[in-house]
Amino acid sequence: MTRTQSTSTKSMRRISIFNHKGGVGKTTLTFNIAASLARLGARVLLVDSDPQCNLSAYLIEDEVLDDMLDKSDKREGRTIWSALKPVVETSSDVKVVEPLELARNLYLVPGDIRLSDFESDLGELWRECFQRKRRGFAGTAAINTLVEMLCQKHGFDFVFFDTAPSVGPLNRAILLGCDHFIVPVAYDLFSVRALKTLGRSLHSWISDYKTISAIAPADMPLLPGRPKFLGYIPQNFSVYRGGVASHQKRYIALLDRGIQTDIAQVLKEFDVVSLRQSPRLGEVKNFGTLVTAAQREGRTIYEASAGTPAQRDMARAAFRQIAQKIIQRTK
Amino acid sequence: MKNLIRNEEQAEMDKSKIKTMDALTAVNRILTPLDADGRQRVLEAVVTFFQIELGHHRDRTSDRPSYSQDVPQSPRPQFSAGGKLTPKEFLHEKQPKTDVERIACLAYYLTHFRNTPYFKTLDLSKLNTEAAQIKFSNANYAANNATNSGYLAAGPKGQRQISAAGEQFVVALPDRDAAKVVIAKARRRKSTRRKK
Repeated sequence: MTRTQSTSTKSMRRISIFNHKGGVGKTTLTFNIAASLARLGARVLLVDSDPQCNLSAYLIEDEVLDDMLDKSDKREGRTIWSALKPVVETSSDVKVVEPLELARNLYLVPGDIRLSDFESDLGELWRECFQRKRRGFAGTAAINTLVEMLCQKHGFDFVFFDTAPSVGPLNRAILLGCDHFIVPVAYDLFSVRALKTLGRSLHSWISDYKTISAIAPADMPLLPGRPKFLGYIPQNFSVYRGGVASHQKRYIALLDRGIQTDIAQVLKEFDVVSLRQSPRLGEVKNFGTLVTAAQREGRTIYEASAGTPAQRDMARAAFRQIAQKIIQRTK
Repeated sequence: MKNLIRNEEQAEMDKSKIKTMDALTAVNRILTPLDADGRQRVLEAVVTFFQIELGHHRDRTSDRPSYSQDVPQSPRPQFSAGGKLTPKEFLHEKQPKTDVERIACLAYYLTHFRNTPYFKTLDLSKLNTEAAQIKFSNANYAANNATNSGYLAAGPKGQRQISAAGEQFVVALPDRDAAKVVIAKARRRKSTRRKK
């Protein structure tokens, strides 16, 4: 399982599926895209950075996860908190936790409810960055440091972060530690509205971190600080007669416009949005019972024991297409 | 006179036993703080130094009673010889098709590779996670089904244990025909008993 340091961390791509609006399928998309990439031969690490631990609950049995959470404070802990605890409590280095192997090429660092405590600390650590204190830089970059260490050890090609629906300090640290981000959306009013605040938050984060990087003393652990927009993925929409159902159709244009005005234009100065390619990375329609069955069984949507074979094939094709586009756009 | 000699012999044997126990305690004390690799290195060095010839370990499954002679036996799996097979490798080798079969394989692994003859459902779930298998939709339900199907049996204090038929079934895997015969036979026996 362990790969030696032959693969440089430079070749790994850190991607966050991020939208502070809830219920847009962040967790489902994260796992299914990651699994599709793993099937295409990439080594993929999933990091559950949501204190609600939804991704972990998707993939690990409840009792096992509860047991892991109970032990996360101890030496044998294997959650993300187990890795970050030394940084928070004693200002020492990140502890490398062994990721769980889920399937061939697919690994997971389980989430932890205690990440919410870490999030409160991150606010203070962010301020300490402006004060040029080492603790601030190390703490803010702690998750990124963990990921880099794991990538050096296991040679991952992709790292996917499942994020919480918020624009808090935790997501700020994760987003700034990523090379790319993907925005999942739903065809509804709230998703259109959310793009505005999303763009503004990203602008202020990137801009602030630019300042932090500029004033940072030498040898400080820094985040990449400039996540590139890979595209957006509309999901969970109804299909009628081969197209998006009429009650959702009107949001297609609104979302396209929102992506241009609220994300592309707002982040233009940082050169993180490519206008040469379509902002739509793919689409995942409503697959009905497949999603709930997949969550119950801890499988991908296209492997769930529900729905029809045609539905599963359609789901497989949709995620495969997204995975291929990600490979193409992150080259 | 004979009694005197016998007493002396007995005293010698007791002394030797005490020395052995002392040595064992000392070895335990020294090896405990070391990790698995460290322990192995030390023991290998001791074996080499004293030119001790270690006899081949007996196959743990070989002295088990054969539950059914007419069952086509698949070649004894390599896993019992090395003892270093990971749960993932073990399941890969056995290729269980259903949740219930996976439970039986995990139970077998716990019993023979982890020295845990009695276990809870949580132990099976943890091992399942360790083996990089997809989660059970409902582990308790799967374990109950495995018990009802004859792969598992009740153990002490509400725990479970692998049944004789369950063991035979796992040993027969991945030869599904042989495994089917084992489990069919076990079920037949069960139904006959009920009729009485």
